[in-house]
Amino acid sequence: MSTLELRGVAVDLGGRRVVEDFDLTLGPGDVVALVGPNGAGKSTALRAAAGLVKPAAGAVTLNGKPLGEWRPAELAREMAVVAQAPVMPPLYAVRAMVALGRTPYLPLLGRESARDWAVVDEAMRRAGIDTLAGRRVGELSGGERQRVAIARALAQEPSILLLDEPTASLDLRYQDSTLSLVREMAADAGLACLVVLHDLALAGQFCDRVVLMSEGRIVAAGAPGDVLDPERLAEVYLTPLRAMLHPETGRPVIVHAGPKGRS
Amino acid sequence: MSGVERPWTADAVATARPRQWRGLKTRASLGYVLGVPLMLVTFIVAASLGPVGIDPRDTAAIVAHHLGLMSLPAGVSQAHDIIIWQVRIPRVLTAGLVGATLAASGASYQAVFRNPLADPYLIGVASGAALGATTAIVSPLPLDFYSFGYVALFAFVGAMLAVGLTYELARVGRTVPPTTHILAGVAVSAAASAGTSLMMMLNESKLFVVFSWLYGDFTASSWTKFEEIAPWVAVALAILVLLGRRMNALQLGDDEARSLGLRVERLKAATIIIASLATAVCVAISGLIGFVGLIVPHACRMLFGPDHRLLLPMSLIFGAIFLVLADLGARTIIAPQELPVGILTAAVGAPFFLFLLRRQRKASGM
Repeated sequence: MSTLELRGVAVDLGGRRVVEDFDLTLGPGDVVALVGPNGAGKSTALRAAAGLVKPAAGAVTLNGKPLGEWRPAELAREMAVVAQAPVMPPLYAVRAMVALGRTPYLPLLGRESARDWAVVDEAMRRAGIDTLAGRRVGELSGGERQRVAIARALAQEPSILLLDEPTASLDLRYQDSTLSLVREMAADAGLACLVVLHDLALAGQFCDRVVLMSEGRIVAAGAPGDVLDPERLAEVYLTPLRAMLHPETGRPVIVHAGPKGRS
Repeated sequence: MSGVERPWTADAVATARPRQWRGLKTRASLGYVLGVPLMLVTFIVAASLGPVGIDPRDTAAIVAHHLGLMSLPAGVSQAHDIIIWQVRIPRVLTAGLVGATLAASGASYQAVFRNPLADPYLIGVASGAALGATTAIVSPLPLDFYSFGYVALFAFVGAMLAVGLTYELARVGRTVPPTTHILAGVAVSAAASAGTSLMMMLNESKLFVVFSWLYGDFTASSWTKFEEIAPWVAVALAILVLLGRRMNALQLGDDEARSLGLRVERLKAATIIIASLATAVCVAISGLIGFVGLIVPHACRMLFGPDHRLLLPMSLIFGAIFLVLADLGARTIIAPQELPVGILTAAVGAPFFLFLLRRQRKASGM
């Protein structure tokens, strides 16, 4: 099991500082939500955590070793990324697409072994797409494609999973099942998950910790009940909000203040 | 290859039955079982047809004889032996090798640029190679035209410059949109062609050499020329085929490919250099033959699916078949005269390109 650490990370894009002084520790079984308004730097912070952008300052380490010192294939066995809008060549069969997750395990001339296929099938079962195995990716709905991307990430057998708005194109049922899957993998397999979310209600219900970003910086980090404070959120999102407690879980649910709240 | 044992996969792995991905396996068997014999038959039949018609069985016997498999049957004349083994087989093999290279390079460019329209001729590679080769031919330097090495070297440099320039011109931030890429390719090709024409105008004495080379054909094929290019091209093609699996991962986009453990920049650069090298060597020996790299990979994708581990070897086989047949048409349609083979491939290729362009436009909702 692995631990991902970001210390004082800053990222520049096009000469502009997009993320500043970002700290995060992601350990086994953690499910952490990264929230904030559009342009807050969430996706960039996630890309820095994945080693996809080089930080201008600070360090990203996996098990104490800087990401840059990992061999790419070894890193890919530890950490998987699900992009916000995964690119999928339409002619590929779903199972073949998920099998690409085995890339870091295969030598140059290698073919997938029985073990590889077992992992691929299990990843598809977990992601709830085992019935789609023979379908072409181009025939799938947006939500189905998103789950194919998640299955492909799981097929990497990572210990750390980074997801960029995995629920953006999903309806309520699949939002729930996707984040339930993340929770289940964290609980069963000790998977550490960092999830960029727009929906604060989802962040509150499914994550142990919430990191709130604004203008490239972390504004608050901690338990959902502490971070998801309507006054703080109203300042960050520049819109009036209300917090309620979920009748069963007791976790905070953030809602719009509605027409009245503006007066 | 065993992976790290994760608790959630342990059960699934423990109960795993040896099982293959049947789809790919079936298609692969079909491709090789049909493709390889079809290629050999095409070669033999193409070598048998021409001004002197020779029974394909005799052709097969002559080839088998020279490969040391059997002695020459009594009924086969010495003249036929020379026509087949010294004239037509080198020509067929050269056309086959060039066709295989153009098709496999096309498939590789399409994979690296994630652009279904990428083809050695549409992204500037070929016209760059032509400009380089023309420079070598007309150069006042004491370069012998027949010293193939210099022409190939200049063709390669020209090809690399053109592919790099096209890519840079087409780049929008971190992405290269397929349409911009083709437009930039057209512009770079036009500039390179203008340069080639200018050099031809200024070097009238060498006009015929350049011309006969540019509208290239396989009339000048010989064992010597074939042996000069074959080892290089074979190595390049073998590497491209080996990179097939990585090209699959590249289809997911740079970030995803990187998070799957690929060294994306290195892989792309290696693929482009190798495909351009192979294309340049072929352009240097056969002249400009367009559209093979576009038609063949697309047809193979329709028949055998998008997996590059199968797509690349199938493009090789069917590229060879396609160009051998095109060359057969070129030398028989208006016999005893010959058509430039590039005219035939363009006649098939241009409508096909328009069809693909139309389909792509529909897919992107334009």
